[in-house]
Amino acid sequence: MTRELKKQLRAIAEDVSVKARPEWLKTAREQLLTQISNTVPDRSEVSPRAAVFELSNLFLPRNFITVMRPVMAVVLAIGVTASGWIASVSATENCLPGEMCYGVKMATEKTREFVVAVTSDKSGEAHMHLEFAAKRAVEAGKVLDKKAPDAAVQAAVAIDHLNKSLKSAGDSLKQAMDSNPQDAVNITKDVNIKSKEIVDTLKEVNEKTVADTDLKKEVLESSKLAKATSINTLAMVVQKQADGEVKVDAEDVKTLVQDKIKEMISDAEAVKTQASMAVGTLPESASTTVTLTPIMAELANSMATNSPIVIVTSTSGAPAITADKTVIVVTSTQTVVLPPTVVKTFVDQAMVKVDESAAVAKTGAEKAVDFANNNQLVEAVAAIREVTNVTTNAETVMSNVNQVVKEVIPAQVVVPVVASTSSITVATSTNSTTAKIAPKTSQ
Amino acid sequence: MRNLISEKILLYKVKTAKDKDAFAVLYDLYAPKIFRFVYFKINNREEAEDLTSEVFLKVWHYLMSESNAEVRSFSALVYRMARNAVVDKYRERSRHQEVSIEQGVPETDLVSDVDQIREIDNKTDALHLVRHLNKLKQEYRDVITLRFMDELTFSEMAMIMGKSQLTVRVTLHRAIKKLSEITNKPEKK
Repeated sequence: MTRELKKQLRAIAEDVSVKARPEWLKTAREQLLTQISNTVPDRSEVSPRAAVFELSNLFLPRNFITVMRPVMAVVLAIGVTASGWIASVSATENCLPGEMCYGVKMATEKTREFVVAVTSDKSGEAHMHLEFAAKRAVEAGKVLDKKAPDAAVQAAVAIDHLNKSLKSAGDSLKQAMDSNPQDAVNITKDVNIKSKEIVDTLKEVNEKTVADTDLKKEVLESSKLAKATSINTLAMVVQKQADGEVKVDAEDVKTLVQDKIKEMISDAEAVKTQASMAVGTLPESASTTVTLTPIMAELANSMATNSPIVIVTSTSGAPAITADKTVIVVTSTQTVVLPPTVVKTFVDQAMVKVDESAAVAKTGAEKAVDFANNNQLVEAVAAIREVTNVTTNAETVMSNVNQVVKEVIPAQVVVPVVASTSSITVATSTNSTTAKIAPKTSQ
Repeated sequence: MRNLISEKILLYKVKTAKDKDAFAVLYDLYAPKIFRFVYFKINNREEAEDLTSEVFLKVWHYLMSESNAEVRSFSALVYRMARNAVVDKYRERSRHQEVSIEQGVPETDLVSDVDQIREIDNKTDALHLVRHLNKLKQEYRDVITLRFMDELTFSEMAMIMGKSQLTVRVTLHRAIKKLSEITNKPEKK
């Protein structure tokens, strides 16, 4: 794709319609030279010292130390490993992407990878990669907290490194299972703890991503990858135990699977709870308008197959909403304002999708429990994987819904509203009274 | 193909000896590129010509000033100044026309009148590409055009955009990925 893109872009660049007129170039050149002739004296002599300084400034790297830094970092890191001197390592511990010392930090970790690969076993290596992944997740959150103009890009750098660490962890785990089958259960427990830590941190990062759709997607993809790493490890130990390769207690493996099922059910419940809190929070009043944001467009278009609303991008013409509010035309240059009723429509559609996912997750969870109870652990893990995917997709939708709600009600505190009627008993001094709480329909 | 060493030598001559002839050679090398860069952003040929002339005059004055010690790349300097000049132009337009600006440079179409592209062998592909590029956000469009149209190095792009090289590489990677997604997505009617 890159080669083709380059070729086409060069072709556009060479087209005569976008080139400067030769006669203008010539005239402008003459005018420029006349203007600059009037402002400066004739060519001046340069001292040898100034000439050498200028030549070195132009032709040598900006700062010789910057070039030597990676080399020095490796030397220092080896010194740390060999001598136990920790000053340089601790100095870079708090460095974040975008900061000058971050390169040193990454170089130090690279050296540690090399040393661990030589001196430790594969499970130690996997643990190290997971530790690095957890650090990257924390860094992404801290970078977003700083709210610098390039925070999103720096967070993406951290997420990119996180994904690489997770993949390296996955590779090391496979080798660890093959080489240390007796440690399989402990390895799986360790991976599960670390993966959960990473997923929880990424949830916080996701809430900080605000309206950056690309970063949100990347964070959610990383969360998916972290969960998959944990499930893959579980699948490996279960398969090995089923094949008779792992000399561990079958009950220990079953406990691992049952614990994972509980965790999976808890995650699915959390999404369902979020969904019920979101109901009724958007205003239905059409007295105000809302600017269409990328997250809203993302949410609307993710419902495309069933939604009555479709957002279409046009490069020309004015933005528009058709009379039946079924097609919203946006352009790349002008904003579109929507009545909140339209936004509520695609949020409601999203809620339908989440409800459907919750139903599928419930069925899948029941299947997983049955399989585990019947010692069909391989099938149980397959069901866990399916339910986790469904729940993760629902989480993505909920993340976008929460962002849309925040965008529509920026200054208000969102008060969770119970979606259905419920009863409470109020005790009085003489008798009990039952009161009904009706659902609120608008904020 | 750019000769970076020759450019550095010319820059050296301008900075140290205030050599107007060396500056004229640099002008010949970069004026067409800067014009195209500006024209893509403001879509008005006359204004693009004025702005380009203004940019080179500003570059000359900057190189004559005390701050010129920081300048290590002529291309990075002239593109950065061109970018700033476009931002100033839009601020000026916004004062007259009340057009809103986001982050300094509003989202504008790359060559708004795509039918002007006449001499490309595969015009249909080029038209599609321009439409797809217009769907990208400004930052993504910038990195793609600076890299593939203006053929700048990552080091130069980093200086122009005021970011690290790693950040520019990540941004370019994301931009190409996004463009690929847009290119492969069937267009909605």
